[in-house]
Amino acid sequence: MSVAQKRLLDLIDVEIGIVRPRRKTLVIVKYANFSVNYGEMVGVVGESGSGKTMLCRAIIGTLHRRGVSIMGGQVNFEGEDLSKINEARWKMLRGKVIGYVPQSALAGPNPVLTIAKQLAEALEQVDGTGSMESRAKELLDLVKIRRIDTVMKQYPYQLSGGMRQRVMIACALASRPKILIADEPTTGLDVTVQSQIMDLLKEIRRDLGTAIILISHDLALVDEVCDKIVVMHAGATVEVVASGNMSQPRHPYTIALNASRIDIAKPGGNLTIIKGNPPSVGQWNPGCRFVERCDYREDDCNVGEHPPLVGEKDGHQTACLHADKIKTI
Amino acid sequence: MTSPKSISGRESEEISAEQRIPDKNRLALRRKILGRLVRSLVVGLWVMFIAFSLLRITPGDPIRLALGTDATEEAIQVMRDRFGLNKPFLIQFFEYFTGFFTGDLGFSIFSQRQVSEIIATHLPVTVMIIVLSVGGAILLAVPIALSVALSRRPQVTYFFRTATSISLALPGFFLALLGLLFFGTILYWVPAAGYQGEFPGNLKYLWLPALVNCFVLVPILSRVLHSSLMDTLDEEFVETGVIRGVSKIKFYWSYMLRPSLAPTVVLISYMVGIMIGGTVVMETIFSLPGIGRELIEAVSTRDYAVVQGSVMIFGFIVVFTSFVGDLLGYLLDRRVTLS
Amino acid sequence: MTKRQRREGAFAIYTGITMLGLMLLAGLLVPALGKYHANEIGSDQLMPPSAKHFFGTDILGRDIFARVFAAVFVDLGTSIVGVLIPLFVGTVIGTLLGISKNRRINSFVGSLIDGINAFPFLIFVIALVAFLGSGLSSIIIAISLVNWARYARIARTRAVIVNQQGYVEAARTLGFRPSRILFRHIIPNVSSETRAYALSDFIIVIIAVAALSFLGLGVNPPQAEWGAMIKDGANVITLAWWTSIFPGLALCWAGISVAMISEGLSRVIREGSQ
Repeated sequence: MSVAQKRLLDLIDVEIGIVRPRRKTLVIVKYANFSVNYGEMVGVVGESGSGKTMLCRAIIGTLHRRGVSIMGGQVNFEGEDLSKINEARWKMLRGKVIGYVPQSALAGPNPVLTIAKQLAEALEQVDGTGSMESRAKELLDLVKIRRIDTVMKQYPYQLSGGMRQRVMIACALASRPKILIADEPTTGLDVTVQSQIMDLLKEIRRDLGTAIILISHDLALVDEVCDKIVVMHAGATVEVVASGNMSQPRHPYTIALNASRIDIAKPGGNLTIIKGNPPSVGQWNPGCRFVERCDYREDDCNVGEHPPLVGEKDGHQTACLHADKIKTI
Repeated sequence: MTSPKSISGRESEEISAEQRIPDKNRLALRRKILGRLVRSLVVGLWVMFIAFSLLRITPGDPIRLALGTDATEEAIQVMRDRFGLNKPFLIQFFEYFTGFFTGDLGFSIFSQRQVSEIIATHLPVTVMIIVLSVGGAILLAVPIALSVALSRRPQVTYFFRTATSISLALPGFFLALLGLLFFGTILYWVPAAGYQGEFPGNLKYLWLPALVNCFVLVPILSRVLHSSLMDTLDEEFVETGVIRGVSKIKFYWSYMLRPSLAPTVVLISYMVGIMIGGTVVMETIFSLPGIGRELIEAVSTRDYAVVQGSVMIFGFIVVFTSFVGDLLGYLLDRRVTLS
Repeated sequence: MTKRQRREGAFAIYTGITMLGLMLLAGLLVPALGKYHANEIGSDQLMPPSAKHFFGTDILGRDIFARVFAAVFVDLGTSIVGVLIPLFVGTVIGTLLGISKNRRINSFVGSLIDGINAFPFLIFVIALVAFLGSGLSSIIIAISLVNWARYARIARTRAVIVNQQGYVEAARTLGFRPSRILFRHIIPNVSSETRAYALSDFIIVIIAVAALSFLGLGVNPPQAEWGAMIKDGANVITLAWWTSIFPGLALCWAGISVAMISEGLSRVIREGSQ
């Protein structure tokens, strides 16, 4: 299937926060910007607390369960702003057009239902031909599970982590979504299983043409499997860059993140770490939120709003006032 | 859509041991249940032994106590022989043990009846009260716990916790007395005395005792269910349920209640023990012909065979319900261990 | 939210302590300073509450006010002893079982504990009282004989976990005497769990002590005790509600004050562990 260069999802200056009674509104994400084309695989990286998961939930429409809401910006999905639609409309999109693979494979599947029942739940929402059982088996075949008859009768606790995550992917694929959101899908899985799951996601993208947003904190992994990398820091997009271009990052945070990769560290050399801690959620100073940890900071970094994301759309974009200077260093 | 048939083959390492032997699951399940059953039987044997020992390790001669101070030495020896008290301890226990399987639990001196006969007559009333109490408590506790868990407002949770802990601290027999005073002598909703054993008719006599039992049962059940619901709500699969868009009823049952129920079900079986204690008091207050009232009467008339037999039956009921409770909990949620 | 939880927990603890303190104070002062003695038989029988008899009089003309507060130390004292003995015995036996390596003793005593715990608490106590005879001391003995097994079960489970903790391993590696490890490291960590249970158990025991007397198996007359007073009053409750209601309220007051302390503590502890 050819990858059409057409915009599927476009996030523009998304702001997410919790309105709290008698207290200041807690802003978790502000200035999140990135886009996903049809059939594209986009990786979103950042430390914990950078708002990755909240962004995920904004796209899948489960924010309100936790009293969180989209407070500004647009989440355009096929020309429809997801931040404005009601629950009835969400019911038609969520889990149908937009699929979701949960964070932890171990806690993702419902522990009290057999795999067959979980697949049936996902399938009964969508039209299809053939019996429920044959459709469920087809899904398990799609995610390359063998001994399908046995697995169908089993409970999640009887499966290994990798198998569970395959089942979760199968459930998400039941409606053949246009986009699949995988929120750190390999957390808690060991490395070999992790790469199997990644291979599976790549194959799904290749064979079904599904766009995939892969949330991760592992820059190396994302760089390897995705077309495009979105770097998040303290609730803002700081850099969008095509994968393979990680040798030329322009934002100081990406530079630091890249330098701290184990896979490119010199054997025997010291591992570089990013100094300082990410700012606490919602406790951002004026100006750039990375300023306190930045090696390249200048006086004008401390004032005004967070720097805007500049650069050509679909190209290399950076949210740093001094990106040009850094590039030449 | 073309489903990719070329499999890299890597996933073979993932296939867990259970999958290789298809029948292993069922075998493991059977072994687990069997193991739990064996444990119940061992505990049941202990229950019988302890109930049996009560009479034999009592300070003073129970026969002398039962017959009173003016009994002749001859009469006491006759009674001792009749109860087999002159034989060695273990022989006595063996006879009691074998007697149990032929329905012989001893003989009541006071009422001149077989203990097994007394139990058979009075047990149904007690069981009925327990079933009504537990059933009513479940009907009340589930909606209470669900609505508190779903409200997510700290004030509601605070009120819930305070109210339940106060309710737990109230003595059931005092509440029963107040209830009898209010519903019996003011509203005439409860017959002051008497009993009629047929099913729908006996509810007239039993609803108030069951309600009083609920003052203890509902707080405990709803608190445990509430805290497991709160744990469940934080789990990721709940999110999956929302995203799958399952129907409301299915969501409440499969994604909230069922994963949270196991601790509560296991607890209910444990609560049956507490319930029996409460029921004994209720039977005395409401003059219901249950086995608890028989026990109290037997204690005051020193009818030891009845005390021994009814205490043992209560022990068996608890052992049995905790076995069933563990099993049910396991069937509801396979993560529960049958230990 | 956590701060709020701690504040609410502290409020509950203080409320409970104040309620309990007031009751103990009255239990001390009323018998010492009151006009009437608890067992003093008067000529005014079944008098309703008045300025003369605050809570009225019972069928023998005894002042219920004096009797309710004379019973404070009887009820609470019996219950405290009835909790402390099983707490101590159960914690020690359970801990020893938990750390012992002798599998035969372990499974034997373990199943004995399960066997005792299988009996409904009140039923077993009633049966024991039947064989031991009535009176305060046999209530305490009966409760202890039944209740230690519950503490032992908690302590055993906990001791198995504590025994594998790093600090115990460390103490062992450092070559401390086993008795020192037991008393310094294991018992304190096991008993934190059993002590927490003891507080909620205290409520159960207070009610059980009163219930035994209510069933006529507890204290011997004319001892003033709430359960016995409620029972005496129950016969005439339609004529004279005050005979049962006041001792019953005193019992509720005691139970609720302990419940408040227990609830508050669990709130503060939960907040602390988060």
